[in-house]
Amino acid sequence: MTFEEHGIYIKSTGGQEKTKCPKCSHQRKKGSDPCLSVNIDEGIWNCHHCGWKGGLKAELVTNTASPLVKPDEPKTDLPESVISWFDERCISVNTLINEGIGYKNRWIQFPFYKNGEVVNIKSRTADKKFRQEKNAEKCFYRIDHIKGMETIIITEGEMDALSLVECGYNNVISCPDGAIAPGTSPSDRKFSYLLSAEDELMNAKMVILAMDDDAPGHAMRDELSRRIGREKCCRVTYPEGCKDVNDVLVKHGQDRVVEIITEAHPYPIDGVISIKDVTEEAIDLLLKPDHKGLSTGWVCLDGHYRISPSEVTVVTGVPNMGKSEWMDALMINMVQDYSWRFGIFSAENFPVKHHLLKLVGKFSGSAFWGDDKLTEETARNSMAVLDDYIKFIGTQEDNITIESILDQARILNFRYGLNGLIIDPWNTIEHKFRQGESETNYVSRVLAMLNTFAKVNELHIWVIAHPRKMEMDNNRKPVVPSGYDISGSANWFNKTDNVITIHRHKDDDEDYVGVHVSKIRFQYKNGIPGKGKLGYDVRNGKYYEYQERFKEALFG
Amino acid sequence: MSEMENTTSTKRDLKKHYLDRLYSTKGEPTYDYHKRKMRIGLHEQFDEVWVKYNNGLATYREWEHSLNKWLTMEQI
Repeated sequence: MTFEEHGIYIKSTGGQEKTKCPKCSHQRKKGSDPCLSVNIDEGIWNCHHCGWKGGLKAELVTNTASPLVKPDEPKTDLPESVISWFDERCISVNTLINEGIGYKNRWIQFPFYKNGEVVNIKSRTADKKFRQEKNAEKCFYRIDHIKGMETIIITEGEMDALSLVECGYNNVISCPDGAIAPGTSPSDRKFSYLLSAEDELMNAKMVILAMDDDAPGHAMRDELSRRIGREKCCRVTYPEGCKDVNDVLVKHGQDRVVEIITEAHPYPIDGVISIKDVTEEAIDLLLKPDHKGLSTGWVCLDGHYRISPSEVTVVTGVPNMGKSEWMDALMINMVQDYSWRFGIFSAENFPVKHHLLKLVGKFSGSAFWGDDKLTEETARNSMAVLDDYIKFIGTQEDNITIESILDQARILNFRYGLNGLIIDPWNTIEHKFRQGESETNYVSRVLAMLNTFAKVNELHIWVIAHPRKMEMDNNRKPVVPSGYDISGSANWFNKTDNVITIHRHKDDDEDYVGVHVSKIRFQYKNGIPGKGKLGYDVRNGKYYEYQERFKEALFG
Repeated sequence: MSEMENTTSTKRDLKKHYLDRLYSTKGEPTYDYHKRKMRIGLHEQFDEVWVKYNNGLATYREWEHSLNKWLTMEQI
């Protein structure tokens, strides 16, 4: 049985469609309401008004077993109205005759020839109602014309195929069932016609997909290219205002159709960018010789570490060597020099009031404790200015996770436009491992998440992470830890853009904070790995360029 | 009072308001590079907001916020 025999009239030949219910629509006030959902691929239906449901399944099983029916060749005596209908669409009579287009009872008939025999007929009316012969073979339209062809053009419908034939292309086929609904996963049965041209498609060197420029057309194009192989698929770009090949033919003529087929470009492969795609951006970069990251505010570090958006920097160091202090100082420098806005999760500095006073000290350059501490007015003024630039995050939850930090950062970015995000330190976050996930894999996954977040939101993320254990040198002083010494995984070094170790070097001759830059991914703009020396003012928490002690120079 | 009325009524006194605020602010000189850089930045930002305000692209509230931010920074 067919849908029509059940009283269900549908326009499409595949996918999902809503139409009038033969059981209840004629009794309803809203008689034209399409309350019957029909899944044409699966052959089932359900009425959302009266609840009538059913399917063709039993019949389909029978049909599968029954032999395929070969319809008779259509009558090609076309009335004048049909010829003029095609003529309006720039399809000539010659093409109609050559392709054996027929006409019967208001239905225009497109015969599907295979090995010289008609195996199916697709019929359509002028108002876009479609139907195909019952129990006929599913195959591409014009399948005989692609035998031995190196290049094959596939269109969505017969009219597009005829348009290309009109323009001189013979190696054109079209899908018998049109496009698929976007966002659905069509059954293999829907694409059973691919088997009819399996050898030809596999042996072809190039397959040009000329589907409609709409959502179903794109979905169809994606699915066909996935099945045929994207490496040999090309797609066409239509001029503005045209949605398919026939549109181009009608509005712009044959030359333009030839042009779009000639200019069909390779199907993009996910994650692969061709040089052509980024040439202009690279040239822009080349023509900007001063394209450098931003200075940290300490000249001695300019050659080793500069700050660019969309990157992740991990900062490590032995405990109590000033990682968080340096990070705060860097943040204040970025606020003062470039008006950067920050979201900061700093669990070790809770409650926030302590942290805020430390930041105010750095910001104003005045001590926030002791006899000569800054005045209330200066503190209030500093806080009033800083309020625009710094937001503390993760202050409420007991168990803060990386996801919750990123959620809050995303909202802050939306409201204020963040430039930087600081996560200090890593070990105070509650880490949620997936079932069976190792720490290495977890770190790798989270760093990938941070990298993506930084790139998507164009902000710089700093993560402060502790080394796994403190190693001592021969003088029983802590050794400067590297990125590979960070607790958890070597991915800390491998998967981040920049790695910095903060280490205090103190002996009889010198006392400075060493900023050891051990990794810079983009060295042409952010500097080359090396070491900078900073002095630390414990009163206001600021870092300065370190001045070498000149005791020996003075006194020999 | 709508935003537009508010903008129109304050437009005449804008220069006076600005000068009053400027003269009443006791700026502290500083040799700190970063603080000076931020002061210059906020001053430039305020200039831009004023131009935008004159062209109807910024509100009085934005103009005042920008002025406050700059003059506050001058006092730190």
